[in-house]
Amino acid sequence: MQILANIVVLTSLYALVACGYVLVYKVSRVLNLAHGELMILGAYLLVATSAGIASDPLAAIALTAMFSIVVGLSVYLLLMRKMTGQPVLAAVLTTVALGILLRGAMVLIWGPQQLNVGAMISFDNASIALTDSVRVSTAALWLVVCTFLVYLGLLAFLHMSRWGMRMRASGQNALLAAQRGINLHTVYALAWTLSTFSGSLAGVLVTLDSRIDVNMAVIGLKAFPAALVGGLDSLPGALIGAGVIAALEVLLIHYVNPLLSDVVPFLVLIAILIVRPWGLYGTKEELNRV
Amino acid sequence: MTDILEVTELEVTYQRSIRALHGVNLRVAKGQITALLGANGAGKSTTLRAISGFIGLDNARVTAGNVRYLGEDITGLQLPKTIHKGIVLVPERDKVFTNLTVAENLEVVSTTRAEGSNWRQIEEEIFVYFPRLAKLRNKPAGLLSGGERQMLAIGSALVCKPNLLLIDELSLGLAPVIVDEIIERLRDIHARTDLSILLVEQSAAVAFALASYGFVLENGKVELEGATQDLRTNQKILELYLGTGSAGRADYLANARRRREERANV
Repeated sequence: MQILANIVVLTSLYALVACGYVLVYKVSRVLNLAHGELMILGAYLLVATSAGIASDPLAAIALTAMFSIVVGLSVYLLLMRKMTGQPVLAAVLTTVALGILLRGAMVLIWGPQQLNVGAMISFDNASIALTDSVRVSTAALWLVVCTFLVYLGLLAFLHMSRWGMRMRASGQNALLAAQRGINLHTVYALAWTLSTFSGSLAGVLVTLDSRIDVNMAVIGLKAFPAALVGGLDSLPGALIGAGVIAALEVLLIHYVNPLLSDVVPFLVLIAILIVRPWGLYGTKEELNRV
Repeated sequence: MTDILEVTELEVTYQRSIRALHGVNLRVAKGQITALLGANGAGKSTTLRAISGFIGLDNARVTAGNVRYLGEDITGLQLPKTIHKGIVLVPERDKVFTNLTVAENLEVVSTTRAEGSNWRQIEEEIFVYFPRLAKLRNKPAGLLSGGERQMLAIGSALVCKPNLLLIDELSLGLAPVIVDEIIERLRDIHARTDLSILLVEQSAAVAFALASYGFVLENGKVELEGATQDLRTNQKILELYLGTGSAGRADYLANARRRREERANV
């Protein structure tokens, strides 16, 4: 039973990170390889907020969420906006550069050592007993709840609001979207903002559950196979992909060898790229991926 | 009669080197339907795209000539500004969002003109023009037939509240019975509004059925123009819009005409 709980928690983490990849890819066909770094930046923003502005955990997290929205918007406006209409490869390489830049900047600002964010905002990460034998941490529980809410919110937004529909429309045919008066810059900015927001949320919650250091950006890389297994442009797909990756990882760690944890997602990634490159629920035509 | 659109000596170059138009001249009279005829590759679509505005992605530029709309020079104006001025294009291919339902296709449309107005009402207006779409409201547009897609594309263009509607290939690839229905719908829309329409066609029959004036485009230049009743009887047009080198087809048509005349004489 504890294994099942672990799988659910890890699924939530991967799913919350993966939906950031999906949002940006679905709308602009750009693969954001800086997503892991943006996620950890969210966690470091919490460090900054708690150190200077707010000491109450909830206030600090709320402020961090607002900052992450500003970060996402800035990334689009200052950097990715210039890439609109350029070849997709140029945009993807830009995100690689952004990732490296962010990583360096975060080490410069916050140092290479591990920080205990939970202690900084006096967050009580107590272990909660779900049943006699199953225990999860408070942060992990929050993670599951937040992932559920984010997915629910995103799906409702994409299918019921006009701007959500415009995001889906622009992803399907950007030229036609422009010809129907949809402002592509608004749509792309929205995608980047939502993506960075959900990523930062994941970063905050995962670092509350452990410690924070720059190398945790690798979680972003590990969540990428989850997004790809489901099909890069499908939100429900990302959720299922996250489940597949998380289940395999937890089971192999438990029954085979803990050292496998860093390898499993990428084994699945290679397998799916060979067998079904467009993923379980992705759009089949999109084979010219970068 | 005043012209809503006036295109003078328009030249368009793709990727800085490939010239697609070599000085196109045409006019669209206000409130009228004007046809632009021509074979594949004659430059019809490029002309429409140049009028309705390129985006950075197209890598195309107007290199000479100008486009005047309601007396104002709009040469090289890009999307979405052209839409805000009331120039709306129904593209030839990929004309609907296939992953969205019919109703969503109408709802995503965004112009300062449509924004803020009542949604349901706009939708219902379109469904009055195209009753067939009302029944398909919740169906993904990717599952629609070619004719239904054309209707939806025209419908979603109408949501932009155009003054000038540009239609790229109205009848291409559609069954004759559907073409007749769309022609009828367009006549109806045209009668109810003061819409001016520039219609690109390969089929002279469709162009003549709708338009009052026509231009024939050949190799990036307008070779012929006139009122459609004059064009209809013009010998040259048959050869021209069939393209050079298709003398066989022209002969066939000439023979067919001769046979018809013979029958009429008997």
